[in-house]
Amino acid sequence: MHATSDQTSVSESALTFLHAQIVDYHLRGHGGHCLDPPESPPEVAAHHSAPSTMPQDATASENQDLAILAAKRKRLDALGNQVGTRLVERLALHRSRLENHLDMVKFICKDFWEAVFNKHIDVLRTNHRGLYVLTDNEFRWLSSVSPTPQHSGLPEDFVVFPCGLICGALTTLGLPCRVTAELVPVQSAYKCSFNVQMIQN
Amino acid sequence: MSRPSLQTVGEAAFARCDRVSAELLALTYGTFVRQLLLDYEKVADVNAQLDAVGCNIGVRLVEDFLAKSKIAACNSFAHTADVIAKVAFKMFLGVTANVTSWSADRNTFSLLFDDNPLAEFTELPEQCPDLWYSNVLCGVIRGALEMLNMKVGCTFVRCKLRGHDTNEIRVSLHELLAEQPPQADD
Repeated sequence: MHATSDQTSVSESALTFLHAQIVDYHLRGHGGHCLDPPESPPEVAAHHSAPSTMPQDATASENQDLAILAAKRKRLDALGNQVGTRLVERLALHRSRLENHLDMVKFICKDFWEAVFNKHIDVLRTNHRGLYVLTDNEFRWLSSVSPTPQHSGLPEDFVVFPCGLICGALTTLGLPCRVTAELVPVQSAYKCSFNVQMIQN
Repeated sequence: MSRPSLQTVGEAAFARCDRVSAELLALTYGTFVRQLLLDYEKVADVNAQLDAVGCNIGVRLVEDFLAKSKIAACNSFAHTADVIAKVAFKMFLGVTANVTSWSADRNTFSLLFDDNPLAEFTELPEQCPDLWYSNVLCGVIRGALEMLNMKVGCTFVRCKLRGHDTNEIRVSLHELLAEQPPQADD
């Protein structure tokens, strides 16, 4: 069942192709370069995995690389957050106020997931103390993006933006939270669990 | 038996596709463009980056397009133009374009479209009147046609966000590339 009518929908692949490019721009393109250390030109950075005679330096540079990757992902996450905020405002425009946190999460699992991923969340679990685990048994944005030689992205790269989307949407609905994702390969697809941890004010 | 019109082929291809909310595409694209405007000093560089991103999409998307549209090979550039307007635009964006303004040598045409899902809810920021907001589309067309051995130039010439009456992309065929021989296996 499609909640979206023909007039207001586009092909999912248009979105997943765009998303793949946004990921690429932020993690490997210009959008990430502004975070790279200015003293290390790209050709040096490309060889950081070569055996080093000074192991302590290698560790330091590895830590630096990790910190830079985290910063790049943070920018991508922030972009998702902005989109989630604006999208949920539109989706929730014509419905009655969501009274409690569980209703907000359920709204994300159904209406929001339908608009974004063309399906509902498969499993929702909660510990009733502010942790919600939303499991999508076949995460679509990974199944339709085929890795190509130039496209050396890790599967984890493709859940950064969605984590931001969910976080932005829930925060706007009134549930401030932190969102992380865990991926488990299942045959040719990925099962993805989004852990939503409420942030206590 | 008459062949189905390209309009019908486009509608059928769109119906076969999995679809998502157009608002999501518009918001995602808009947020990305805004990020580029922050990251680059010159608007011309943003236009170029959007074109480059589009080209990357185009070279990947063409395979998806051929598989889902079930379109046979185009026998002329005019046919290619119609397929882009009626099938490709419909299949990916849910809208159709019109092909007009052919040059005398039949190598250049315009794609006109009124509805642009990318630009929904968008207003151009005042400080960048030179932004071609939807320039990604030029790159997509260029990248996709390059995969089909057509080297084209694509430029936006009218954009509703700039106050024009419609959206117009000018497409020029520069060169038909020779078919690359398949690489030997050895």
